[in-house]
Amino acid sequence: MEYNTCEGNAMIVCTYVDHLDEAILAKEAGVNEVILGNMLFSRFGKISPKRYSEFCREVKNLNLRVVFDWDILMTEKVFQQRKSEIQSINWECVDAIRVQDPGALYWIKNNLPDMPIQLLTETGNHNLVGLKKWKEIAGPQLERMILSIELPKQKLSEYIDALDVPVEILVAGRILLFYTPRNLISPYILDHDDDKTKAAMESSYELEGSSEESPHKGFPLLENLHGTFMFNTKDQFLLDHCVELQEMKLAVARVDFRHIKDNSFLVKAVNALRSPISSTIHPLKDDYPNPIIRGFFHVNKSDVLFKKLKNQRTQRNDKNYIGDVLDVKKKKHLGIMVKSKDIGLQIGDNLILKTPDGKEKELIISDLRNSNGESIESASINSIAFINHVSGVSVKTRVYRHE
Amino acid sequence: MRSVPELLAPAGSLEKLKVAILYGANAVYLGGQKFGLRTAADNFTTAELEEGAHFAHDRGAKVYVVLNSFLHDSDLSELPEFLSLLDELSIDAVIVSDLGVIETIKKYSNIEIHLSTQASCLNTEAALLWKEMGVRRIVLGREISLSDAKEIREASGLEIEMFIHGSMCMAYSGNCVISNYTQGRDSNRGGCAHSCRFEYSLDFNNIENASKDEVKAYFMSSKDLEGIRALPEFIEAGIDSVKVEGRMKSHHYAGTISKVYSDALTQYQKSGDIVSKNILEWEQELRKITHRDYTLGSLQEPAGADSIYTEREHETPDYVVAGIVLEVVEDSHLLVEVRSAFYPGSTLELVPFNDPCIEFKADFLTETDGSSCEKSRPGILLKTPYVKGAEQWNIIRAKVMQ
Repeated sequence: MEYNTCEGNAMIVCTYVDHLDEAILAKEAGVNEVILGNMLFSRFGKISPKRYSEFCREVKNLNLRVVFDWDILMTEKVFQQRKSEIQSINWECVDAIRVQDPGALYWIKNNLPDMPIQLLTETGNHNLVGLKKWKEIAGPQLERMILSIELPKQKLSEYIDALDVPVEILVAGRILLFYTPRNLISPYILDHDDDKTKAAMESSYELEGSSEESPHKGFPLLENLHGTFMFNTKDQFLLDHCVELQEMKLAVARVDFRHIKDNSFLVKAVNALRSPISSTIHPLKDDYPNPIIRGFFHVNKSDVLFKKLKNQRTQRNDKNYIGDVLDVKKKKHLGIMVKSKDIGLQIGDNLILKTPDGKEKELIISDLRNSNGESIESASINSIAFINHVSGVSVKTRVYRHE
Repeated sequence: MRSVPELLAPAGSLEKLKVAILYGANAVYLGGQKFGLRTAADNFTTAELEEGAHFAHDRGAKVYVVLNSFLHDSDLSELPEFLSLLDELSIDAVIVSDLGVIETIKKYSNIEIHLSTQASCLNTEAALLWKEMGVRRIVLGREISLSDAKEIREASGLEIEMFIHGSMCMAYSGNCVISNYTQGRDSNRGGCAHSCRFEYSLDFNNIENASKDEVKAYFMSSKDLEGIRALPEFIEAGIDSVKVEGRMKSHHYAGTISKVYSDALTQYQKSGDIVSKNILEWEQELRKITHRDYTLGSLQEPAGADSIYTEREHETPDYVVAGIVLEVVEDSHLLVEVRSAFYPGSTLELVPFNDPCIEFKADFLTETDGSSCEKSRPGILLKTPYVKGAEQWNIIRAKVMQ
């Protein structure tokens, strides 16, 4: 099956399979393409290296498109190991490789120049300039870009038009929040083998964690050969927005139900994606077994709270800025450190003092002294001067020259 | 003289920049009002950036500006104007993690580009790809060992910068979005809520051989990196720049880490060795600043279970900053900006820029109106006894009575 032979505007649906019966089910459900996770190369892959090539063949015989999942990040040492292990893969039955680590992308371009690339740009790629450059780097081998689910639909639509390459997003499935190579769960397992590689090859641990410091309870956690992963408490779920996804010309919809025991939902998901209809009558979310969110699909305002992270009133404005109040002696003086190289303090200067609690005070300097209490004519950068007091001013007040 | 790496210190504010450089840093990194990852830091205004650049360059130190957020389209449009300011100020390099930012920089400026650790560059092939993109230096991911770093440097021909000290992300940098989904704050644009430092209840009910059904643990909090012991390995690996994390941290931190690592590098430069007696002294100094338990991270071996900081975040330093010297009036007094409480008669320690610490007794504490002070308090200026050798921006610290 060729990559671009889907009927009309129908979205291609891809998903993950670990077993042949899952592949058969996927085929019957109408899935076009399956991602096969080799446990050495794929973050959540469960297929052993020994069985991998044979499994690819079996899946390929079902007339499914097969994708080799190489989404792990690799240190130099790990990469060296993987480069030797990848020699055992039989690429005949693989239609494409999906990859995130720029090193893996570089290696594929140089060592598998005919292999189509599906480039994962789901993490940290939120501007068109960068995405276009990634497309250029991947070159003619690029068959698809996988974009971030943090892009709101308006941006997604804009990027799909501008990139001129098939785009995929995660339409339903777990949202990965955190990825570390460190083993964070196994230290709590009694029979954990100190030989981490051996222990993790043979076992993975899955459990839930909750923090009283967060209103969200039950973060799924997973530790395996590649480290430890945390997922959101709610799954990404856009299956009730298939009409919008189709209208924006999303080429590929990925659904990831590996964490859901009941596999019957896959058929409903594929039907919704292949034949989008209004979901108002019977929303699919009602049938989905896990809590869900639309995430940032409608809007991404994840920077609006930044202004609240610090007191904006204490922020320095360069214009006419002189320095800061460091010392207040009621009815006596204000101690000011001059921090501007251009404007100092002199008798007669008209100042505006902006306090941390938002007040503005005006003051004309009638007295100017140094720390010995001696009168001085002026004070310049990096010096401390004491001027006449004005009420309502506290330390950290910003001092400006009146215009 | 032997060649040693550059010492790159954090500058969370103009004052911290001065402190870091005066205490021995060869280079500092800082953020402007936008485009960095420390939204809550003071960050530099245009005038501060100008003054900071002059201050650093006058003393032979370099200034790198962080542009390491993953920028959105709207952010990018504001970047060219900022780049022209950086060019005007002869900023030495920018630290970047986003390919869109790199492309924008290349279009509008010739400034040197360093790849931020936020891009998690972990192997030679990735380094080669970034090199093709115009990157001159890579700040490697903290998951990289020194032996890996050496190989990457030799194979890529790029300058290599590595963290040697400070807090560590538990996740691969740039690969954590916990805050995005739980707090509505983009962690990769400066909104990290440090969820990895929380205590979590772990439900082990479904796991065989678990020690308990439920464990409450700070299971995803990393200890702090301390690489002073591995400094000779950094040098032998040819690492070009050793970096200290901590733009949000105090003057005390900026000064202490700069002095300690600068002393260590100077000693190696002169003698080609680092004596273990000195290492103990430096480690003792590094314990005087606020820190979590220290670890070597992945510098020698992949970070294991002993790299996890299993305690609640708390501050129990042996020493606190009593104040910062703002003015030295010879043979009369030091004018000190007070940072923590101390008393007349307290034994204090002045930390000179180049020489060993000087212990002195606060024989008198005088307020700026001439009255005597019974107990210092943060937020005032105080006169303390003059100490020979003291200079503006010196740190004065006090031992904490446990």
